[in-house]
Amino acid sequence: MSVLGVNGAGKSTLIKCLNGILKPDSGKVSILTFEESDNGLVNVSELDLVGLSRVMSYVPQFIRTSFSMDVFDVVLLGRRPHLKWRISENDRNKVSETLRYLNLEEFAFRKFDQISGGERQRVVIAKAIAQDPNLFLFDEPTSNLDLKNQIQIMKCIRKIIKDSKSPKSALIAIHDINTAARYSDKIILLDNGSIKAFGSPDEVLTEQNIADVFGVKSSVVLTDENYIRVLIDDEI
Amino acid sequence: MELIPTMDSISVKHIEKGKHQVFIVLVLGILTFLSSLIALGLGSSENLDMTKVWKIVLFDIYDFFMNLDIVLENLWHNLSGCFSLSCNNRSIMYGIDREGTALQNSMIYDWRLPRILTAIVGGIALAVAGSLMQGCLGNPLVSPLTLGVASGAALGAALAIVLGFTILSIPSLAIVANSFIFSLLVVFIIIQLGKMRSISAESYILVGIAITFICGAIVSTMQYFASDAQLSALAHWSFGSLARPNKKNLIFMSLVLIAILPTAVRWSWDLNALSLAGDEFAISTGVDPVKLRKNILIVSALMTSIIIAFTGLIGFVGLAAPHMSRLIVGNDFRKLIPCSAIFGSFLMIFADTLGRTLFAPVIIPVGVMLSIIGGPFFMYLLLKRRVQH
Amino acid sequence: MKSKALISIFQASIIVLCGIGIYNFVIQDKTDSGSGDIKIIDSNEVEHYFEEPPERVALTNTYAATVMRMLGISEDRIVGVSGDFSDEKLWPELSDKPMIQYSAHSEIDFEAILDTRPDVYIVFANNGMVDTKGIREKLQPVGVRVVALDFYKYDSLRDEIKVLATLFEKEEQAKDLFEDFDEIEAMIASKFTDLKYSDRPKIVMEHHASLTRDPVVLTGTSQWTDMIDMAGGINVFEDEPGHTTHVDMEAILDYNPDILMFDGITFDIGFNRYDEDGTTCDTHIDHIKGRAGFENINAVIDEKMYIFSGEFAGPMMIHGLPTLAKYLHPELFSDVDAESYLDDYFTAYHGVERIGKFVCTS
Repeated sequence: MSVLGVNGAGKSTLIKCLNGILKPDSGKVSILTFEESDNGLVNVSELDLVGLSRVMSYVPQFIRTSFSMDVFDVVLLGRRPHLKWRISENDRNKVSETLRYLNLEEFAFRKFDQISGGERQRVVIAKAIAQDPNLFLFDEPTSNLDLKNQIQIMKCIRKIIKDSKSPKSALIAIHDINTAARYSDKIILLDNGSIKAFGSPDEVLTEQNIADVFGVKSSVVLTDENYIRVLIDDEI
Repeated sequence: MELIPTMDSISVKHIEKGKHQVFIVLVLGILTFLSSLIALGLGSSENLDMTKVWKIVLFDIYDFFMNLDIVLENLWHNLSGCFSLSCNNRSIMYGIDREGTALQNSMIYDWRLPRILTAIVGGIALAVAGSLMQGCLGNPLVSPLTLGVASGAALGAALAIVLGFTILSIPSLAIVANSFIFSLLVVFIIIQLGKMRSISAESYILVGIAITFICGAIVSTMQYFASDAQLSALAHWSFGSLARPNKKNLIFMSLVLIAILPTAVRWSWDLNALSLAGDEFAISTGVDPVKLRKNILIVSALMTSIIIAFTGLIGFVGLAAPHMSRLIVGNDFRKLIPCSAIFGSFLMIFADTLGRTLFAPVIIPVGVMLSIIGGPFFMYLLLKRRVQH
Repeated sequence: MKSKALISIFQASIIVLCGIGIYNFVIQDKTDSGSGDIKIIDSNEVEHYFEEPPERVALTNTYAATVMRMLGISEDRIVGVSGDFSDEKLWPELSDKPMIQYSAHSEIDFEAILDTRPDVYIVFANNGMVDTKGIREKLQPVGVRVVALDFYKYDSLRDEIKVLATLFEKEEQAKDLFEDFDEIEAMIASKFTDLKYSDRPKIVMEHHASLTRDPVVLTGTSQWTDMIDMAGGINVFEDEPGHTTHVDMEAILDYNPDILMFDGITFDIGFNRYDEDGTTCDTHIDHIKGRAGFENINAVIDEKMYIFSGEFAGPMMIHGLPTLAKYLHPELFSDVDAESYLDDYFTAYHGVERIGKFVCTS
């Protein structure tokens, strides 16, 4: 699910309210979880950070690296909400699996600050996967990458959702309309802090909506592979 | 998917690497222990050389076990005797002649041994505090003295020495208590200020710098109006020396350290998250950066203050030991903290012994010695890093 | 390109001009030592010429003032003092003269100096806490001659007294003073004609900065080393360089000294001071006794620990020698009234009766 909007519309803020970095001034945040034992609404604002991190995992936009660790250990950090002190075989296996899954095996023992930006992004995603959450939160995952990497990341995220055994979702804050349109099941269109539209790409991305929110004239086409493409004409 | 019966090759490699690091750390630990043994044998006395020292010590150990019954019988008496500043009451223990003269025994047990133990305890405390600080503030140039602990302690000492303003009226502990209390006060102020403004790592460092200036100004003013006797007392205090803590102080320091260490170690995982990639990343891993930072500051300040209150200012160890261990075990705090502790004690033992023996009988205090070693060492580290990149 | 060349020439000429100016200034400094028939060389080896004895003198340490009294120089000449002269009993005329400096080691108040306009300022020559060179450079241009004299080092004491005597035309008084000194030294030396090296007690003398577990001792160039030697003892640390140094407690234990001495500047003893609650001396001695291992040292076993007041380190050092020698060799000096020398010193030179506690013993 993508969250679209102009800069300042509140995409990142929404994500950060969900995962506890920012506290909402009013209102509650709750998510639906499907555990084997209970299924129901979990009030996220009542969970502590550790509980929160078991339920959702967040991939931030900028990764600052001051101290460096091996890639394996970084991904291992994703297991932290689940482990007490010792690292079990299970934890290690999960990490290895994830590394292979994302084609990161060759980097397993390289230092985190010595790999390229795109690879670092994938490592943080690997950590998010290793965390085994119900919900993935991505803040602008494609902004700092080149075109090919952008496509790879989005495909990767889709793959994670599709391949997972238990039901999972991903919420992605993104500002590139076409990337969102191509790869999302649903889109939330934010305008000035409130939801303007919510639904599948073809429902949300109408020329009128785009004009209202982004201030540009556009034409929306449905491609052969059955996804929406937005062609931008000019500013209004 | 079925369970994988054998371990993944990557996992295996990870375990191997872990074992390898643990092995190195153990070896370092043994080396440090050996160096402390050597340090026991070195000193400025002309009548006491390495072999003589070891003769005395081994003889004593032998005696101890041979006469275990008498020892246990008099245990209480002996313990209270040992808590007085001299342990020569041991002769009462076995009622036999001891190896070596009373003066020589005193030199070994009352002066050298406590000094080495203080080096170990102090080294561990400062190094662990240093690694905690570096992790929590995400900055490799931070030492436990950075955030004003040192200036607070100096302020307390100056108040006690120059103005006679002490919180505890016991003369032997007046300066100690003052330094300790004031350094904690400073840390408390920094944390409160940190709460008022934004609570990022940079804020803490800036506030620490500001406090350091203020404390420094007050101390300078006091120094100016001090008599020269007070001035020298203050100057001497600021050169950290391992001779100052006596046995009671040493036991107190060790107890505090033992009480605090488990807490520090427990935070290893959280520190891994916090130091790696910033606050947001930490939150995504379930770590509360604000709370953790506050707690770490308090613990680190406690560990550091308790040591420097007794010994005077000792820098460099808190900065260098974590760096040195990082070269060996990387940044995983589960291994970094123990490794720093080992490097810390080694550095202290080395600097102290060097200071004691280089120009015997003149002593170069530990604080000074470490500063001398520190500068070039740091240069070397910086240059090495640049070459790598 | 032309403007660049012009700027370079401009910069170069400024540098040259400044260089010439500084050179002249520096040269000038050396030659301005006045003129006149009275010539003295102070302890920093600076030559001064005076036409007549200076009328207006500023000084900030009590040692110099004491020597002036010893030479019979009138205190009317003293126009500026420091906070060290506050004891009215000892310095009745000086205690309310204008203060130009807080203590012998703090910064000089230049306005106060200009107010009092001294001809001469007497200051320590080789004291680590006083920047004599800096003071000289500052006061020279204002017309104040800086005469550097220590009066606390044994080897230079007599020469420095001569300097002051020459300056104030009191050579006769100096001669008498030296005769007194000679008498005392001869008396002491006479008791030591048969003194063997092994009879000399081993002594460790600690500085007032010494902390209970972090000892600082007085070493080679300290006046105490000379005094101990003249009084028939040995400072075990006399070969160490400098005035004081930080030593390993082990070394003290190793030497097993016969006597422990302490510099008493920080204790409440000396002229008109009585260590009133009796605590400072006793507390200190107990602390020392309580040092681990010290109960086995000869000095502690024989109860030979002494604290000497600050006066013993200054011009009183010769008159203090009998006291010192008597403690070191009580049998040899049993017939000598050491206290009378101290009494004479105060009555003859300071014109007061000696009051106060000057030595603490264990």
